[in-house]
Amino acid sequence: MKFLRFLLSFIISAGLILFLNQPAYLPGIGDIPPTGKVLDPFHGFWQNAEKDPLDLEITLNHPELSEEVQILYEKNLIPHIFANNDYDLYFAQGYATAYHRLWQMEFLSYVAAGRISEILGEVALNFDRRQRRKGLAYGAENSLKKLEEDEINIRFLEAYADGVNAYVSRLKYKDYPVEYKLLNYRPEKWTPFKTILLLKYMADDLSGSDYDLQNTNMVTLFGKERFDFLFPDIPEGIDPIIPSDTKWNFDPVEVKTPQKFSIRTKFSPVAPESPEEGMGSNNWAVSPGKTRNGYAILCNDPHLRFAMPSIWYAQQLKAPGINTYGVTIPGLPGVLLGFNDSIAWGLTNAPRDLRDWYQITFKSGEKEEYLYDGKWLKTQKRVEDIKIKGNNTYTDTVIYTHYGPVMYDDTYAIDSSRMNFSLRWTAHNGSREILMIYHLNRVNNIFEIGDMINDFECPPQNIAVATRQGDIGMFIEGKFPLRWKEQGKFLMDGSDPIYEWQGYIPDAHDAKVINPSRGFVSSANQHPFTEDYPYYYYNNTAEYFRNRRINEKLSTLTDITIEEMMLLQNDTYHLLASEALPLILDGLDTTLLQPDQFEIYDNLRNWNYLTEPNQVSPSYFEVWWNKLYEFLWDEFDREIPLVKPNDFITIKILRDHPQDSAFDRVDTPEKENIADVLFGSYLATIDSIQNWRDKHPETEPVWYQFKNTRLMHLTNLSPFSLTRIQTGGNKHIVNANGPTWGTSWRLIVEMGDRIRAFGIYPGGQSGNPGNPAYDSFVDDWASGRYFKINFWYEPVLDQDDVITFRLSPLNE
Amino acid sequence: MKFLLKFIVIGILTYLFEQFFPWWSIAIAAFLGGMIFKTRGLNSFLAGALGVGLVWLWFVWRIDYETDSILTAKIAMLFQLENKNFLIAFTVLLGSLIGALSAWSGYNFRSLFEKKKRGGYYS
Repeated sequence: MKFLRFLLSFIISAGLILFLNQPAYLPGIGDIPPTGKVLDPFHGFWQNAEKDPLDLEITLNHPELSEEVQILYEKNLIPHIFANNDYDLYFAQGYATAYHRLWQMEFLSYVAAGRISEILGEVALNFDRRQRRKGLAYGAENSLKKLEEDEINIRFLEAYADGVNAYVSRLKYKDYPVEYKLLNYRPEKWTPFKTILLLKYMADDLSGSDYDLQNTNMVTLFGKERFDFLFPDIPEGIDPIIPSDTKWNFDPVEVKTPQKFSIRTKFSPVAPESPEEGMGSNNWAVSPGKTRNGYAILCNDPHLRFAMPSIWYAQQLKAPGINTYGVTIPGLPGVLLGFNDSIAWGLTNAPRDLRDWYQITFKSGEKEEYLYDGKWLKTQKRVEDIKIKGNNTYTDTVIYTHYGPVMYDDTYAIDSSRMNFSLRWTAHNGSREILMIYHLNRVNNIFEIGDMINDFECPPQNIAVATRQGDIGMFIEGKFPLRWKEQGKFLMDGSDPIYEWQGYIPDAHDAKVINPSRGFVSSANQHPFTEDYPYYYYNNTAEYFRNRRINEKLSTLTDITIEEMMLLQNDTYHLLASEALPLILDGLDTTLLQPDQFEIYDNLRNWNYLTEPNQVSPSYFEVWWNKLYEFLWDEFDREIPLVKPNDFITIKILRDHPQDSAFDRVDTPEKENIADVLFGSYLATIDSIQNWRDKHPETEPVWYQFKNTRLMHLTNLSPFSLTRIQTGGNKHIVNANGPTWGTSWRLIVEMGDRIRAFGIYPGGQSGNPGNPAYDSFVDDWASGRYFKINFWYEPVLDQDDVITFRLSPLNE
Repeated sequence: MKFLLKFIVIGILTYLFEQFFPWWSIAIAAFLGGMIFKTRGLNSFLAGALGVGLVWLWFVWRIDYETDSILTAKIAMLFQLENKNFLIAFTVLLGSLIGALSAWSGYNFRSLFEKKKRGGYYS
């Protein structure tokens, strides 16, 4: 009896503990973490709540170091790392970054490698398959091999990894970032390969899209003439990055256009996802002659998908031969965007078609051989084992041709065994982007730059530069395939060698401009040049508005100050609206409106085209423009993947082609004209706004409430996210803050005798949602304020608001 | 008196074990506490509940207070609790429950080795 009682009580206790030590599934709530483990006040999530933003032991010993490293933290948690050699410097950077951002950097490396199922379970399987079938890890392996050719290249990556791992090795469960506890896994070892994976993640984010398959569908559906009319390579009225009076002083490499080639006309049931609109960036530099203090000024604001923790981590790195400040992606050693003691640089994405699709003919369903130039070539198979939390490993076999991975076939996304599309993409090449970062951090003047940026192949970037010597420049850097006109714009026949790339544009022929007569350089993801550039290029995601606004401002401004540059970065003028709205207001037949339908019309008539947070006009315009766009391009709403003409072309159609067939709506028997479309879309706007009001009785549809700029945690956990941020702007506006994309970092640097700089980003240095510095920059960022950047030449040790922390080699 | 002693020992052991071992060490703390003094089963049960519960309450409350609920509020939302106090209460109840059951187990374990003898009314 006693024994039974003991047994019973023991089994209940032990069973409860076992249960609470495991993740579980609760109906109605979903997966829950191991409750007992996570709620334990001594080890669980409670330990992640931090009273002080900084909680580090002041001195730590690490045998890997050769000398002591000092890390000085400012109040805002930006570390300034002072080391005596490169190894120690990157070791300390890895250490400091892991201290603040360990979970984020590791999670991103899982994203790139297609390993999210390991953490989140089966929900992520499709995502992982896609990542792997794109060949990101394959590209990263190629890059690592190339880097390993020279030991020096790999050494600083190893130093960084050693630093991360030194930090991780000190962690016990209670110290793990809270996400590990909630998702019930533990940190892995960091490796140089993971750093390379992050670069491929970046390549995918910024150059991982194309419209080749959609283009193929559209040519098939609408014919080539209509396609060219709606999707011109270089429309009239663009404002390119390289001023159109630039002379090209090189002899271009000859590209042989095949005698006979054809555009495949067929329907592809599948296409890569389009990039989210709003991706892009601004950078510009103004020459000393245009500034009040007589120093060159550099400005940069990359627009990326908002995330918490923020994509950027800020720091200063100083060692012999290097003194640099700026931001980088946690996991990437060095400073990606920022300045050193001689030059400042900023990057924007330089989108160009870098991906092509080849249709592959397999000999049999086994896919062992494929047709090429009349012969059967062997395929290679890459077996992808995708581990899934709480489930069996999923094995995906991806076929590789000499072009690259056959991303789409009958095992993925396509039903037919006759459609097999192989992807050729520069991100698959072995490349050494990380070396550009290494060298740019150390460069002394603008003329040294040319050679050292050639390693940056993918994603191509427009690099704006301002130096203390007073030079400014813009370098369009990347590895671009040579193309005959329209090569790769559509699906190509993979069995015919005439469709092969014929090589790359030589590095020396990459476009650049130094000290142009107009006194400034700028880029905003627009077309790089007009037709006069000797090589054919195709850019399907060009920007048409931000660039013109910035150039218009920069060409009129004189006596420029840092404050004026801040205003320009935060400029909310809606150039698109200023060009489109007069057309649609004038075209609207107001005699048909009821007296109570004038509110939106009257409001928009009086709009100043600014998109400040508390205005309602931007919300009205946004809805009307979207409705109009829907009504106008309804012939593109089909089962097969297509893309709609861009806003620039849409305005052109409204202005110059009011008789165009696009105005007729396909699902009505009547023949509509432009007036019908304008009127119909206006009425739909009234409805849509009324709907919004009914759903949000607590607020007016003011712009920031309506657009809902939000910074979502990487796992989309809403308590770790921030929503309805009070900020203006949108895509196509200089202040590019849209709902989920926007200015991820703003930098302004005046390259004087004393460098003066200001920066801000949406987030905070700490990646811990339980730390006060998790979101400490957000309010300032939203309202257009900056923090002053402290750039030091030596450690400032006796300041009250600076906390010094030391990493030392072991005492003998 | 023994109850008080028992409760104090469990509290101290809970605190000490938590410094060195994972969270489930609270069960061992309560089990040992439930075993060492001779009391009734209910006494052990309550001493376990209070011993673990109060230590957890003290630490949870202090963390929540010192950090201005910065994380408590967010995790409460994650667990779909309306109020961070529910999360505090739930945490403490969980610790108490494990403490109580484990101390009772400890008491039952001790009983295995005792001769059947009626104890005094207050023991």
